[in-house]
Amino acid sequence: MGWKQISGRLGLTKADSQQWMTDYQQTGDQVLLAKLFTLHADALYFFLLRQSNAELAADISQQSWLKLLEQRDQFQGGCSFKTWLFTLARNALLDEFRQQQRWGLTEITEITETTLFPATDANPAEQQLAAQQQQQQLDLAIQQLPLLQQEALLLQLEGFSLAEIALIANSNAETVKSRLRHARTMLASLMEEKP
Amino acid sequence: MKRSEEELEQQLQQWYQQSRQQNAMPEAVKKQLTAQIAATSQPISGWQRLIPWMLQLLSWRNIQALTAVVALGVGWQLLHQQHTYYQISQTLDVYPVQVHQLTTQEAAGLPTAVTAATVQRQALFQQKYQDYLQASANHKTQRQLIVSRQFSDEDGWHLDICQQMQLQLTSEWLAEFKLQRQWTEPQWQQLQASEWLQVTTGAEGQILALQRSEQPPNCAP
Repeated sequence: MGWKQISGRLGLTKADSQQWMTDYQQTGDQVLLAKLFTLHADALYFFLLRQSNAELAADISQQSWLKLLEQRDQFQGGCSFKTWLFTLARNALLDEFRQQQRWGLTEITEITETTLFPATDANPAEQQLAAQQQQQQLDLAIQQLPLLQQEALLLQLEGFSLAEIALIANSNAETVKSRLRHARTMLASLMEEKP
Repeated sequence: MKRSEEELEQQLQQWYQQSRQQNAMPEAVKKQLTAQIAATSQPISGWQRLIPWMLQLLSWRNIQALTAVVALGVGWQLLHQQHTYYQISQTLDVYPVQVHQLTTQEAAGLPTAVTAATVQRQALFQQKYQDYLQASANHKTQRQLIVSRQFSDEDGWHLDICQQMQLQLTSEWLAEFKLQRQWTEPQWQQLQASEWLQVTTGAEGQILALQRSEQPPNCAP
């Protein structure tokens, strides 16, 4: 069965990943790998993209999947497949940052002060425009978060638990909790309603 | 949860779903990758079998780099606590995270029974402590830098150096430091409330002094 055929018609659930990976370890069946790729490729790419750029995100995605192939025997099932995949990707991204000596020195973008939660008496077109503006504002605010806070937030929004984020970020649950709390406080402050 | 918090949460979820949808992996990249993965996952033979082994070596190096704790100075005995040591450890994360903490004799890997090695090590720590005292008075070995407070919580202070390094001062370390430097409560509270701090370090990176700073860190672009 070809890769193209597989990706279009799979009924995919997260719970299956673990089993697919275990079966893939035992059989080397490419169909199982295709299922895993289809299910997780976009999420991983987005996680990398938010912290780098399109070129690097594609490159690190590639490295991560190839690493997964090479290290497939090392997957013990002690964590979820997705957690393992994201950990591999994060390590590859950090290696790249180290080589480039990029330590997350991102330019701080000025955020225009606008209202986060606008009044509801606007007409539908205005409301839609306001909603778009809010999304853009939130996007900019998230970019301004310190890297580790941004990373924790992205992982949480992707559905990882505190323990899983801690594992991926090579940290502990308490620190992750603090990062998330401070990320939200900073976002709230950046998006604060005008008096 | 307050209304504003709920709304922020809702906004975040919405932003994430939309943003992720709009930024899916480009089809061309996906095709290229799937082809590459399919080709790579074919059974291999001969010298190609060595490739996974070589890659495993690389990954081992990565794992080491991420988890190894680089001891900058083993530690030195503090005045009041015979079995507690000032330990600086550094881990590599997105950027290096340096943790200043107090550790017990056991946690520092020291044997509790009095053996020749223990005595020797105790002597070494005594020497380190003398060096520490000397460094506190020797301005030539001192280095000053301004750091920003990222946040403080029950674990201690999390300080940031121009997003290139993070310093973590554990709450136990801070308590001991406060005691040693004889800070009064109002002075300490002022320090605790300060957004920027001037940190004075000694030759081994040990913190000798902490002061409030009126100026933010001067981070090069």
